[in-house]
Amino acid sequence: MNERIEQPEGLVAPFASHIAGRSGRADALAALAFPRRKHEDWKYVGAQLRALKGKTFVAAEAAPGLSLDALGLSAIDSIARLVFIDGAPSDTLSSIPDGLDLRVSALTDAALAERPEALATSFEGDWFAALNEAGWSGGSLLEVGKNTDGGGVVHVAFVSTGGASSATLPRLLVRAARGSKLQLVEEHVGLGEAETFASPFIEVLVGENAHVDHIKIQRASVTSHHVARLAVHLSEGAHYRSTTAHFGGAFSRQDVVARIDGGNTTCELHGLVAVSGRQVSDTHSSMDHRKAHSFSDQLHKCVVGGKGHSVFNGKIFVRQDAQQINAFQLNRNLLTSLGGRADTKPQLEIFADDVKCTHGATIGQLDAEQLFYLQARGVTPEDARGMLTYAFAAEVLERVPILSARSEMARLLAEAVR
Amino acid sequence: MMLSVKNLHVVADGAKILRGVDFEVKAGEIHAIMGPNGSGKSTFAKTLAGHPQYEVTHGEVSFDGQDLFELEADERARAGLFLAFQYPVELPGVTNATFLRHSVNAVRRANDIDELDPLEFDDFIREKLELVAMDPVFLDRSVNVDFSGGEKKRNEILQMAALEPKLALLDETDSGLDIDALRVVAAGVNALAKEDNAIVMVTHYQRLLDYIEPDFVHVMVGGRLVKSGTKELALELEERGYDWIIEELEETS
Repeated sequence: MNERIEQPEGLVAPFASHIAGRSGRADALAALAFPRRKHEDWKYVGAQLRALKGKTFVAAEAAPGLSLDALGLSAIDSIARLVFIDGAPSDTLSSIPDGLDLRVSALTDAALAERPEALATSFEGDWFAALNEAGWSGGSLLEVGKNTDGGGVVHVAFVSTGGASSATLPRLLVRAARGSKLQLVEEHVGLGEAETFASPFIEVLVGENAHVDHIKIQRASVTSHHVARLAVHLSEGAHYRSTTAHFGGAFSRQDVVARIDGGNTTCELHGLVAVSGRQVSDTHSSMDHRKAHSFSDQLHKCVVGGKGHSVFNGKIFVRQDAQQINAFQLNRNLLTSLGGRADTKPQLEIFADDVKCTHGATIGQLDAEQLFYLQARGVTPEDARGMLTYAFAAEVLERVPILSARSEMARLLAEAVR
Repeated sequence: MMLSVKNLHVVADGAKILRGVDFEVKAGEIHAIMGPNGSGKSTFAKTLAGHPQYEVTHGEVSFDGQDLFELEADERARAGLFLAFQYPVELPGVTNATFLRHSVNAVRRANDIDELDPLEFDDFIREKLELVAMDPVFLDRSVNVDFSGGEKKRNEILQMAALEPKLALLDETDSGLDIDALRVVAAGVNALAKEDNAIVMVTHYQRLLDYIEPDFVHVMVGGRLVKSGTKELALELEERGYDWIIEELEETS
């Protein structure tokens, strides 16, 4: 038996009733220590962890009677919309028409039990994933059948209405069966200013020759804590293209584990972070090439203003049998203020010999000659800074294949860098 | 008087570059400033445009009745001063169309002229493109990124055409141009030269002056304008180089 480790009650208690119903998961959580700064993966956000640990959150209660307009969701051109209010799926605000080529249903522990091992173990030993595994509720299962085209974009929105100290553990399992196509826009919206905590856990199974596009837009309130986990599993011939944009949150952290478990695969994990004030945004990724013949690409850009702080830690693994791999990774950071900070740590671990991997990281400021050029054409220094900052970050948006999502992200980016 | 420069002294990176420049330009005039490399020609142009690298230590400049040094670089541009860059700057991710429209509207706004919406701007700029024989595809490309030397210079003249400045300073606009590109650029500038505006060309070679005929030619040596004349002076410089002027200066000092 493991010795019982002290848990941060303020984070666990809101989910006690769900944790009690999953004894195995409860034990797994109880055996893990809450992360600390001395853990390599958390070294830059020790203060955020300490702050989080000391808070007392309560189970979120869904605010009743909200209209769709009041949610301020991004205008996504979608065929289906799933809306979660404070963690609970909302029948009235969701729109899932009949006759779709995809299936949306309530997630069950039984469905999770059927996950392949390679997906289910993606976040072994991770405290926040373990908290979600034990304490989630109101999750959804999104499925596209064999050789079917989902027919359009599914917009999944998690809305926090801003109940004081409310906590949620959103959960979504996506199964794109062999030869299918799916486009997903995942959005996190915070209404109001209340300090909330959300730790979503999203899993995506990309079957043989399936294509999944996955966009995430994080617009949590600027006082909130957002600690997200995303696990992706790619089978032979699978294509997974994702872009995540973080605009909100006092503290946002996203960890992505992509296990590329087949040849002729493409995996893209792009990212855009725009923080200011005292926002902190930390992205960790693991691009895990486990089989021969695969391609991965990652462009991660951060714009840091005010006294903001961005962290990027991108790992690329190429296993011993994974020959003929092309892997590209680039992290670029733009500091637009004197008080901003960016930390970056690209990591390659290559055990095969026939691979082509490139990675790079830069941290810079706006270019004085570019600013002068714009000024010399009548543009105010303020507008010139905005234009150049937007241009720096917008390169990531070119990778977004869903046009309505791209234009909404462009709008949010323009607001964020103004 | 369009531009009046009195006893201008400028320092850059601790070095004295301009050492007392006096210069006047009236509306309708075309001036050429020539001189050997390192004489301060480009510094003069960039200082007038407000480049932050250059520090004015002494002197006065009035532009269209205003104290130029009271204005920031962007305010000078909105007041009608234009610098065509010797080395146009690349702006990755900013399309030429966005750049030009922002720029044109900033100037229009400052002069109480209605701004152009994207559609109106499209009509407006296509007319200007013809002037410098540029393909409209350049509007959708990032500013100056992967442009050839000639394309960059044409893009500068396109901006001049769009902004219709009172005073245009052309800094080595002929450098890096082949003869065809030079003809196109010169034709553009000539079409833009009017009675109510003025042009100052900064150039090392007389070649450009075959295509854009100046009313006055000045020679800058050691940070001062040491000799002025008409276009015949440029021909003499072409033939004899700059050494004889430097020698003349040494004799008189």
